[in-house]
Amino acid sequence: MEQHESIEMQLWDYIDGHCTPADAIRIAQLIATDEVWRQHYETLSEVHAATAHSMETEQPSLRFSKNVMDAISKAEVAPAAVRYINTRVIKGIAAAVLAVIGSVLGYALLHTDWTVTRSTTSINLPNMHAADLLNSGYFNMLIAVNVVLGLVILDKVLRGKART
Amino acid sequence: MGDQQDDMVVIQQVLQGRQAAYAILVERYQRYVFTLVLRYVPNREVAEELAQDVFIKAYRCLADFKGSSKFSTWLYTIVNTTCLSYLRKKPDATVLLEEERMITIADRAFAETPLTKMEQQARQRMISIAMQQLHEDEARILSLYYQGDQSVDEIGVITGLTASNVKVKLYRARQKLKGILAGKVDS
Repeated sequence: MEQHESIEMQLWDYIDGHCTPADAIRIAQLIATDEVWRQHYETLSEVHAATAHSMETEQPSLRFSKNVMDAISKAEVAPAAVRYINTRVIKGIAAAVLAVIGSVLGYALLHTDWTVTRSTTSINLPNMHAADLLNSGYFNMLIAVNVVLGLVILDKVLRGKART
Repeated sequence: MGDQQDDMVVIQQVLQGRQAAYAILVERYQRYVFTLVLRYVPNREVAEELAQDVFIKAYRCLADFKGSSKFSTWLYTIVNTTCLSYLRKKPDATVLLEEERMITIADRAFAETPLTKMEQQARQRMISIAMQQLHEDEARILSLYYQGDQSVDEIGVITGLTASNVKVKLYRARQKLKGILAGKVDS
């Protein structure tokens, strides 16, 4: 079954002209010499020809073209987007955002106290002092990392929405 | 299908203020646009309105078309966004399958056609019914590939899918079509 799928995938590429010249020669030889390949090729060629030549386009009503021309007679071609969107402004905003993120992250990393206090080696929950474990520098760094991750997620969500 | 250079000449004329030249593009692409819209919204009245919207939007944004892709690719991208936007607002629109109506139309055409064209008509009818049995995405990709004359990469631009994803969907669609045609269509 898998072998048949593999043959058919290669044959579709061959029929569509998507394979490399070397593959095209190899597949052409297989079609000429191998009965299984030949049969698959004939079947797929029939489907391809039927689809390519027998798919009908639908005709809209006779007034279609006139309706469109009537509608656009009241409309105007909008100026090209590039004329009113200055890419330098967009790049400037992006650079400023990146600079802010970088400086917050840098500040957080520079001011982080990396030394581990003694209490972390033996944690006694009732007597645990959170301040020993989590100092302000550590918090700053966590917040900065979370801000960056939040922006990445927001970017992905917005890109996904734009795509759909 | 008009070639890219020809389209660019017409577009330049429209942008220079010869609005009437836009009718050439409408005439050239109306069947493809309308057929593609029908793959999203299988109701002829609604599809015709949406297809008109597509051409009006394309006219308004014509200055944004820079010729980096084929005009048809750019136009079908507008079809995709317009139809998806419509379907988001009216999700029940996808249910409006007019299969019976399509079969009736095909039957009528079949009965009225001279004998010489009967075989071709029967084949077209078979493909038309088989297409309706495919998933909407697959039917759209097949339409773009065979009727819209779009390459795998161009379909990727229109639908927002990656080229490899389009290739897989195209493969599955044709395999399904092959299966349906082999069973001579369960109508």
